[in-house]
Amino acid sequence: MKFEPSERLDPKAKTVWRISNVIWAVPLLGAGAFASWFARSVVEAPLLVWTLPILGALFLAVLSIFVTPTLSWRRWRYEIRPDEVDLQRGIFWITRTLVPLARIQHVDTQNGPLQRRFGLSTVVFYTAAGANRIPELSAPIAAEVRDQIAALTREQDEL
Amino acid sequence: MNYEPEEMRPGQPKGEPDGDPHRRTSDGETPRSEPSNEKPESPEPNRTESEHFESPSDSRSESDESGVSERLEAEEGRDPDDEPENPKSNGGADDETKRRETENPERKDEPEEMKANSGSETPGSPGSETLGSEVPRRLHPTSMLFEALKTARSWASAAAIPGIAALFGGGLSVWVIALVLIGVSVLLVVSAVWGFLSWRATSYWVSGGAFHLRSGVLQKNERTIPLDHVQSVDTVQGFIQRVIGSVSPLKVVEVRIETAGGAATETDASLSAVVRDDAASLRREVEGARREATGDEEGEEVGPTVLRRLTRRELLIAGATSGQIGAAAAIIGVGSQFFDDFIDNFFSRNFVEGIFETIAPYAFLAVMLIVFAVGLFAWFLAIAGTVVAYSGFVISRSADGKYLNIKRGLIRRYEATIPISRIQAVRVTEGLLRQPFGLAMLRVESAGYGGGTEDVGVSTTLFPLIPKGQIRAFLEETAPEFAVEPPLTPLPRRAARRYIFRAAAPWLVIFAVVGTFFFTSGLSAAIGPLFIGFINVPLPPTVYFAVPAAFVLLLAAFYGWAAYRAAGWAISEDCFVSRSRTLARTTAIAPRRRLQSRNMSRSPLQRRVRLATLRTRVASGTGGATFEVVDMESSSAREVIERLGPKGGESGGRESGVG
Repeated sequence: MKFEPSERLDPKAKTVWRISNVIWAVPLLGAGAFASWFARSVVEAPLLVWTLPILGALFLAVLSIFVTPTLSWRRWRYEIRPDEVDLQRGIFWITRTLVPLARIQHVDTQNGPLQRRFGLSTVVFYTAAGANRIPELSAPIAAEVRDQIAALTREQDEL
Repeated sequence: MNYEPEEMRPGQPKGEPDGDPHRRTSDGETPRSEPSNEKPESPEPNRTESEHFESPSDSRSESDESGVSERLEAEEGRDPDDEPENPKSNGGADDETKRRETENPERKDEPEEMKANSGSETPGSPGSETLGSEVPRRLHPTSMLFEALKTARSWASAAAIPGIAALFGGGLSVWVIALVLIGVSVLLVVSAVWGFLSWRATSYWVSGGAFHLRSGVLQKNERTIPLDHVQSVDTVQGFIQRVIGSVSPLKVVEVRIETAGGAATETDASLSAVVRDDAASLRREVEGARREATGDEEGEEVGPTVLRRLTRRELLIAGATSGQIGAAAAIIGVGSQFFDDFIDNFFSRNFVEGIFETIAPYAFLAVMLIVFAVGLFAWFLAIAGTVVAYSGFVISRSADGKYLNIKRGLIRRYEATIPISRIQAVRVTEGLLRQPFGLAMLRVESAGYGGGTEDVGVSTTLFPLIPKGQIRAFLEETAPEFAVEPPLTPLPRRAARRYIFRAAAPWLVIFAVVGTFFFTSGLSAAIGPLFIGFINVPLPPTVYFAVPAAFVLLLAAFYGWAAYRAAGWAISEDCFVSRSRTLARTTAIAPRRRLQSRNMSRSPLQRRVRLATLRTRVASGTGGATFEVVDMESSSAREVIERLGPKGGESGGRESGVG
């Protein structure tokens, strides 16, 4: 096994993740603020306790907006080898996944509204035991990867 | 094709000794006349049948046009075989079926003449109609009972929880009882009516190379199963059918038509009540047509091979060691809640208190006795549950060697058919109570195949109880691909610490929280007196917390250590074998070519000590199943992942060696 798969995701992935995490941070901060308000005015908890929820939410929001996208992007690698798809991801838990092309049943590319604005696309490939994805590739590369997987899968089937 | 009937006619009277020409005419005509007088709502399928259902015999005659007379003989030659099976009033059924098949084209030539007398004739001979192959047949009227019960059951289960809540919440007042009785009687009436309606709406027939089932009271539903997709026609005698059979001469069975290897659209069909002889003829029709289609005739004689049966003794042992005691105890626990209410409602307070007063001096003994009794009762429940589920467990292999067939169940016979080629992995589970005796249970993970029954090939019991020493031989017979028993590579010693910590950590957190509460809330001061009955020496309150906490932590640590000891892996004969323990020790066997994906994952702490978690996924049911080895040597994980890849067979040896 190679030390690391060769290909990286599109650098714009960091921006997309950041924006989507900003969107997620809004309800998170809302919930934290509500919990703090509840602890302070209804339960009348001490300062140390009632500030916890909002500070926790703030911490998570900052982390997910400014830190994790970069770390995640740095770790994310993929490679389409002649017989397998090789993926590596994870910030703290580094996961390396290998999927034989012969097991892949079909391949999709998907893109959400945010991804479309940045011209990105996600490749999803399905096996009988579930789906795997390579997120945030620039649309032309995603299409290429999709076709490559499809072609190799067919080739493997014929063997 | 049209001259055929002319050739056939001479044979006709022979087929039916009491050859009454009148009746014969009506029989030949039945399919045509049906729509107009018995099932006016469904003329369409009949029309198409009269064109299609011939196909098996058509193809036969076309392939050998000059051999019509030979074929005739063959046809008659088969009659004696069929005759003894239908000795009763409907004995002519098969003759009729065949005659209709052969006579069918005739109807196209001379329909007018026949229509004339058929109209008055058909209602007079219902017995012959119910058996005709292409005529929509109804289920036996007892099916109303089954449908009614099914409806009643689904309603009752929906109403059970609010009902019970009302009973116990509101107390057992007259009004509540009256309300429940009204509810029950309404339920009974509605189900009876529904049962009748759905019996009336249900009909089935075989035609055009397919089995058709029409059903549905409000929403009409017609299901078509091509005969060559039918995998088996099973007759099942459920509990009620057995009761009916034992109190009356009526032999009614449930017929299940099962398909395999198909998409989700080809679901199975189930006919809740069919007279046994009808079921037999239906099976012959379906299977006969199928055999003709595939052209293999001799397969008929070779039956399935029984591979293993669960003996009565094994059944009881399986129950006694099933480890379902926990579940049973939980049921008893819930039950005791109602018991409490029951006591409160029906016995006077004085009486109950009186009993407690008498028991009090022996409280410790009484508690022990109760615990023992509950345990024993739970154990018996567990045995009973196993007996009900696995009684008469038989696993057999089909004649063509492609399918495993499993039958089990005491009250309701349950059947599962597993295509051997679709088995993805085998799990050997050694329960806590079974491992010391060298016993295990076998399960298989199989990929989804169309089916509507409860466990859709997700994870099926292959055999409930088997001595470990016999597993390999048994697998050799059932699924040879999985018959491996390599020595496992254990995990490195430094993994033990992680296992023990992982098992104990949640308890540490729990005890930290509980301890804080215990010492800050004043409970510590109050707890001493509670134990005065048992312990008469005053103890510092810390003891009441520390002793149980230490006991639980030790137990958890021991569990972690046991999980570490159990864990291991091996690659053998192109199979990946992995073992882990969550109470029961489970060994999973998955061939390399069945692995859908492999991955290894390392947390920061694992990276520091060069350990990794290896996961493999196989298809199971509609999703997948994961087998994992936690904390194996990082370098071995890397190597295993590589060797289990598509090219793994070429590089590296066959047996595992890396530790």
